[in-house]
Amino acid sequence: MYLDPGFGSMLIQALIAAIAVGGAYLLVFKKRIVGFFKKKGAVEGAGAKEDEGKAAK
Amino acid sequence: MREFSSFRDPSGVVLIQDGQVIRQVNRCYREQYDALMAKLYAPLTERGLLIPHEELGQAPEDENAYRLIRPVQIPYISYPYEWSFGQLQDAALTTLRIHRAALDQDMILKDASAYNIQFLNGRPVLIDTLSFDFYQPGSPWPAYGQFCRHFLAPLMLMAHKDLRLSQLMRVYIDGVPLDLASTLLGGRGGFAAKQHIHWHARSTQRHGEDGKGEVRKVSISKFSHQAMIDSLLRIVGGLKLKGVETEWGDYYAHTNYSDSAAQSKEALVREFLEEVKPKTAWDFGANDGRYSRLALAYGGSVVAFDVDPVAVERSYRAVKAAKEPMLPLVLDLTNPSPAMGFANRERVGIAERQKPDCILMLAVIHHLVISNNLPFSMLAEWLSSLTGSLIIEFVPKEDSQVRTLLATRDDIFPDYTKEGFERAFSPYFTIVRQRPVEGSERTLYLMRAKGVQ
Repeated sequence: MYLDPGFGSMLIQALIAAIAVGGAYLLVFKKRIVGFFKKKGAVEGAGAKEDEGKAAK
Repeated sequence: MREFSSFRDPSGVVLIQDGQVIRQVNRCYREQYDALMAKLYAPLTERGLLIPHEELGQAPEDENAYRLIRPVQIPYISYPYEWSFGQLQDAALTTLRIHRAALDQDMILKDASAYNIQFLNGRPVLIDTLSFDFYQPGSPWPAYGQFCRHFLAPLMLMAHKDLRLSQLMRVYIDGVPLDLASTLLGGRGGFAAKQHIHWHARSTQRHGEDGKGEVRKVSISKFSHQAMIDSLLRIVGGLKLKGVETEWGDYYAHTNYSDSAAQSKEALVREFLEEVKPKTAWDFGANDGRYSRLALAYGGSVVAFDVDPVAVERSYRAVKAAKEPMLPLVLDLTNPSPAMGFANRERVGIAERQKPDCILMLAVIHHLVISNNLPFSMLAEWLSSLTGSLIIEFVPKEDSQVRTLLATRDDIFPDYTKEGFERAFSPYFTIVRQRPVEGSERTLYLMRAKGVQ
């Protein structure tokens, strides 16, 4: 059976879309953490950067 | 008359009537068209993403026809291999934004062809009003592969490898093949390239060739689909050109013109333009569009061509900010965009798209004649086939820039003189005015093509 090359583009979207959902949650998470520490002030702000780095991983 | 390139889509036909583009919506597309008009047309046109149109009252002659619509006319059709990086990037973002807005209304953009985007007053708009379809729950984006070939692959290659790779679009009419993009990118482009180019290319090859792959219906939730488009918007929006400078990018900083000579030249160009009052003008060798802009004074449009993609990028940014009816495009005058596609008629050459009232050609002739060994007479003949009026600057051998060009080569140009130039142009053009550019060795001419009123 011959498959349209477009099928590969459809198939890979299942994986890419799942990654994008993960990425979207991470972004929200990152914004919340940054927002939380911004409110707390400069001293805790340094800690926020560490957490942000972990979140991105 | 049917427009040749509109043969792919059964939803409608593009017609040319009295020089105007008219789109016929076919009956088979009626539901989609009505849904578009009810839910999406207003927000998309208000955001400047979709070209506005009016419905024509006249009854269509074709029995397949449902409606005839007349879109706002695009002054000059351009193609992705003529765009700068920022133009292609903005066209990509427009495509994604439209699809994202359509999803919210349970519709999709079914094509993501770069040729469906055109520039109007400095902004990219979708011109194919019939590119929409209904969203089927769970279905992936059918245009995703095309989006990556037409936009993401060339943008990543330009940003991460070499700006000139945009020219691959001129070879591959349906966008850069992803396996080629994958090879050329190598390890560049990070995780975004890994997903959308490398994995995508592999998936396309594996499941396209032998049919051994699992045949099943791919299903992704609408939420995931939207997240993927949002992610693509961030990826495309985040692409940047780094450390790019080319020989002409800084031209005006390195020009041999004094301020007074530049002002004198500008005043002369204005004066000559005033005689022509062009509604449409081209500027060959426009650089950042400094002189092209002068031709906007007559209420028309200008196409500002230059060989340097960085100069075109700079010009585009200025045009976009000012919303000017000027279109900066990348073009090599020694090898202009050809006619391409099926029967060489899908994408047309530069001259088949418009006959401008006037062409400006300032400080270019020495590059064509001396650097490219092009005889004056061949240039004159070509120019006279393109336009009725020509504003052209002659740069003599005494000029420091010509001296630089001649420094490393034999002077095999005995006829490269003011007299030789006039003699070669005279069979094709009448010289209406000629004035020296004060503070330089150069002369500016206004010429009219022979046989043109």
